[in-house]
Amino acid sequence: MRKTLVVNGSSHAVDVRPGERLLSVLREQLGLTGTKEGCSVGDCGACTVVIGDVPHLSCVTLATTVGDPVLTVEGLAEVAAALLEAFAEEGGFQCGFCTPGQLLTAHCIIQRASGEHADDEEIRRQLAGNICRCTGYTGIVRAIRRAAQARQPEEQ
Amino acid sequence: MPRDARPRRRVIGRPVKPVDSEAVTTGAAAYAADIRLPDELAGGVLRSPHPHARIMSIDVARASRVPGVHAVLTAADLPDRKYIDYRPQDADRYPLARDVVRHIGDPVAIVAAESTEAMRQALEAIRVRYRRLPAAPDVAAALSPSARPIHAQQPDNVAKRVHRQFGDPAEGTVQSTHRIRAHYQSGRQAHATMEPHTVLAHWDGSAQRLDMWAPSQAPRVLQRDLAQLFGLELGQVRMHELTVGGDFGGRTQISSTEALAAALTLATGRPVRLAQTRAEEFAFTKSRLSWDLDLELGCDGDGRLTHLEADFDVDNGAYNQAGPGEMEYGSIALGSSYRWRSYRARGRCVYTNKQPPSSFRGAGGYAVTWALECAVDELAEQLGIDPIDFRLMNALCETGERSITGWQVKSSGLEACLNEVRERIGWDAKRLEGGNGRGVGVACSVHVTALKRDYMVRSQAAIDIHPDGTVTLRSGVGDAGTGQKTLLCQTVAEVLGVDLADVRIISTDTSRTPHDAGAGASRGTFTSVSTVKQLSDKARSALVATAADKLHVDPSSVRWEDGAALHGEDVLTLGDLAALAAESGGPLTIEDEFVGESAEPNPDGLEDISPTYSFAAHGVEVAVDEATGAVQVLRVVAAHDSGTILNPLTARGQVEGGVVMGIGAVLSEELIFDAGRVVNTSYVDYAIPRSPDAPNIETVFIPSDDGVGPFGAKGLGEITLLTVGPALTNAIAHAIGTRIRHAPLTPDKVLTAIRKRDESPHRAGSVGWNPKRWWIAGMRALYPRGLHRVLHRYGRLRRPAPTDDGIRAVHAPSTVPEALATLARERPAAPLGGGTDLLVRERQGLPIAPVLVSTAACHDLAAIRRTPDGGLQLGGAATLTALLDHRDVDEVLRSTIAEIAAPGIRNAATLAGNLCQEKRCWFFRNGFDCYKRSGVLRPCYAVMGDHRFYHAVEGAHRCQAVTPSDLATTLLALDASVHVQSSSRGSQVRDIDKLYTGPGEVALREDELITRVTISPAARSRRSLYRKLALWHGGFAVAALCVSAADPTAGQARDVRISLGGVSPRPQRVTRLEKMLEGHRITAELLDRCSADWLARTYPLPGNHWKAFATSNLLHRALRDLFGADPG
Repeated sequence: MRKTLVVNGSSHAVDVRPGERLLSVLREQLGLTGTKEGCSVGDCGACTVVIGDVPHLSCVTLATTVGDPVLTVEGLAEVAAALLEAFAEEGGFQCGFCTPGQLLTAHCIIQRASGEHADDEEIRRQLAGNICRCTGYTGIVRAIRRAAQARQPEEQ
Repeated sequence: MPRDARPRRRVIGRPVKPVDSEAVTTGAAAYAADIRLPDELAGGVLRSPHPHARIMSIDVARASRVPGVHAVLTAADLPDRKYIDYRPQDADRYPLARDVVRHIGDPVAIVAAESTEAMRQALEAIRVRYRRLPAAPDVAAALSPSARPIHAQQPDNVAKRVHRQFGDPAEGTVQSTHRIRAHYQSGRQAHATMEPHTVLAHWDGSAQRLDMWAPSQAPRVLQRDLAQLFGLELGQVRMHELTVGGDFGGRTQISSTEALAAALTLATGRPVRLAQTRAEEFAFTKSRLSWDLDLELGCDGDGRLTHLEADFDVDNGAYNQAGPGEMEYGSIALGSSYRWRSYRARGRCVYTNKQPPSSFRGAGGYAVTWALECAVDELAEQLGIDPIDFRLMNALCETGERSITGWQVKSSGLEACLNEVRERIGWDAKRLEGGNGRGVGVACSVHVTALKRDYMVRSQAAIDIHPDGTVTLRSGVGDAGTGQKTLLCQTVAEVLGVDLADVRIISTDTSRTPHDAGAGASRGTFTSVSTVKQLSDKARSALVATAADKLHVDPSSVRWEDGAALHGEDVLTLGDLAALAAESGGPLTIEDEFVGESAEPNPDGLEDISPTYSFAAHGVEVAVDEATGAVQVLRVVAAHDSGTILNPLTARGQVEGGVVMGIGAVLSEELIFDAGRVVNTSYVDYAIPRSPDAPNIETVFIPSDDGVGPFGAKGLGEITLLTVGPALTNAIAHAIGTRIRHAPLTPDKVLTAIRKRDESPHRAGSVGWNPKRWWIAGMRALYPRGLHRVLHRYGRLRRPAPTDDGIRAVHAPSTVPEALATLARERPAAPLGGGTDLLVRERQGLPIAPVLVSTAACHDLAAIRRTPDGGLQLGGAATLTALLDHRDVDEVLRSTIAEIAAPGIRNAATLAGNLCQEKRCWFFRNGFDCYKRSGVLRPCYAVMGDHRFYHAVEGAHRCQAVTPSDLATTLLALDASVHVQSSSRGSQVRDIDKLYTGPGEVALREDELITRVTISPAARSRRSLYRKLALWHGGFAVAALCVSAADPTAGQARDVRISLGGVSPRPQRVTRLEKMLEGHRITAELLDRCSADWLARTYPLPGNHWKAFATSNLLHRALRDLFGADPG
């Protein structure tokens, strides 16, 4: 079926099979290969994108059911440059394969915290669905804390 | 002391962010799956379903006729060549099985087709006749005298033996006044790289070149094997540069996808993509070798270590990969960390009918370090010596000293590392406290920095200096996230004095980079950085010479500073000089080769094996829940001597990542086999630590500089993983006062050890009390007596309807009546909530309805509201996040939801979907043709298989699975009502008790929809608590429970509800216990009686008695918390 998807602020008319996952539409049809397929069954979080304003797993999301705008890692630099920089500066990634998913979850954590102090424990709980095999998560938590703190002055 | 011991450094030693930061964080970095070639074919592999069988015939005729199929290949179509793998002398593996298959998953045939569908059809159409052979699923079976040889040339199934003696055996043992013997067993950890194996191969006929895109940290090793397999010149195989999504040793040598994709493109001339699913990753790729070690160690009366004797068996799987080499290395490493006076090692690397394991970060050092560091603690304890003192006394740590195996310490910060751990973790105080579930542990280790083998310490690199002042470094080094590329760019920037931003690197591409063996054995920093440093020095000298030439001065009078040659007032920049030196405006290119000291292996094993050695000590603090056996790592202090730290940012990342990977290896990670087949082939079932499971890690670097490595650096990536595991194991022993010697230390083992310590019974209930269960008991008793075998081998499959069509239509009505009408009209149809279970089932090959009716647009169904009388209505389509965030939703529900999966799932998953999710039994989900998946004539694999965590301890019939919904457990204790609607029968209200008919099976007709769940004001006014035991944060319940009572602090129990989840096929109210408590004052004694009563009525499988105890302990504690009962 024909469908319009809003991805990273642009509208795209796409042809979607009934069972097609959002992940496949993003990667195969729109060429947005930043979103990764790590398990295809919703276990690892590598395919996380933001739909509306919360993280979703695009491998267990039917494209036909998506109505709200989608944000992928390709669109994140425009809205969260400080977060990307914090990941680089704090050891938030190594091999980078899980990183797009981590970044989008992190973006939502920071948005949600909106000026509140996001403590490490809460950051870790929010990240529970994004497996990382390289960093041991400590660098990711540091990066999110740093990006959240950098955001606070603007909010207040 | 080297000349540049304390130079002013620009970028070496500074926390420099990775050079590929921008590409990675913007999603631009290209991994193999992100690269597309025109006219690609889809590749697929037909794998052996048997652990051991003779191939009688293969018929590919039908498969070849499937439209769109371009090639169907078997061993007969491939050159008669084996993989080199690790060492030519061990080669025993063909890309496609010849005559015999030796493990489940052994590749038998391959297909390339226009589409994935055609590829799958063709795979199904291949007919293979097998004659099954007796299989050896483990080392004991393989070594039994009646075992069938897995390889004809090794009739005893021993692929390799090692026997080494260092020092005079008499001297060591005679001096020993204290000794211990201990048996240690390590498990098979999966690499589980986040990026699955995806390979793209293209045979370019006109150029006669094989182009490969295959993730690896050592692509040249793959190139070598591919060239020899297909009879090509090395230069005919081009490995392209890629971003690699993790390696950890799992892709350091060739796997199988690379050669199979290459064979298909060679046969078709078209690009072929071969991609593995995550389930295939777990089942059919390498893993860590598991070791069984018997250690005897002794010391004299002063606590000086004397002798070590080790006998070990390594499970090699069906083919030699790293097994023999790692065993040989391990046999040396084991004796290299302490001052033994004698050391004997005797080991066997044993073939079994399993997927072959291979190298894994830490290599042969992992298991031996773990076992020895635990045993050393045991000996220290026997002597009453503090474990840190004992190590300080005995560990090899003096500069210049030599281990009994010949390893010579060039520099060691081990003493400082141990002291840092002691101080930072508060060792002395915590060590005294100990016991009662809290503990601290320590371990130390030594590890090589590359091996002195020519292929490891020889490397080349090239540098292109451009007239615009930028520099391109070309190095074959692999970087799967370890930061090697960044270190090399730092090195260039350091030596040439240019900005890091002006240094670019081209890595791994075999056409554009000179030879480098890639990463492995902690050689990257030593060999590759040494090479690039030497190259950069050479380039600088050449530039200085050019400047001197131009200025007609002596080169010694030219200074080099900040990327320019200076002489008096004259300044010639790097760009100027490149333009001068290079011909015709191109860049100035300089190449160089580094050759480190190397030797042939000494057959005795006695040699100084590495240029220099790294040291580490880790301290770990844990909390062990003595009720459930669950371990929480509270803190890790990781102190490392890896020489000069070239980049503290990436170095710290290596430590933190290695620590968490090591925690996983000791606490939860293990591939579980059932008759040679991997059971836990998903991230849900293979328990990798999630972020909340990982502790904060304090990293300390103890600098040392022995002048051996570049800038004084030593290896780091592997030793981080070696050290934390034994420290954690020792901390657990300290916490519970008893020792567990079999990793991973999952809650079942921990709780069983605690019960053994307390001399508590190890069996929970039995079947005797309930005659209704006797037939189940009879059935279970028959399983090991042949029933399992008969059902497994001969039971007919009732294959589920083919799901080729998959999902044919998805409707998204906006009102409930419309949804009901669609469900009634479009049979077979099913409601679709968030899809987080339904769509997973489809991927797992479980049948789902072809027409789905999404409830997402039915906004009425998502409502959450308080009723006027104080009750609560929860819409069936309300997401778990909406419930979690809603202020009217009761705390007990919110605490239940907070432990379900993670936000990404909870944002989509609905209440109705959660209640209706299918069972999560790992056999059922992971493709075993079991009773529930494939029909009544099939066995339940849990009866004989691994059922420690996710199977019933009571109430099971033929299927041992449980209902996975945690919300069902809590809603049951809240007397919730489930409102169901259908267009034919209107609205009905059912007790949630009546919702389930079996494990994850609900009493709903096809056209029925759960519209809402209601909770009465009375139930809400009770106080309720939820408790759960899971293997990782958000994981499915091993056990869950909810207890509820009116005004529990009033002294008497009233209106008590107790519900249990994860322990029986359906979530259960435990009404017997409720009655025992009702109206009584709650005392510890009454709670004890309740626990005992429940336990006696359980009927666990042999391996999940512990779970019954854990559940009863959890229940005891929850009731105590609820009623505030005096624990006395």
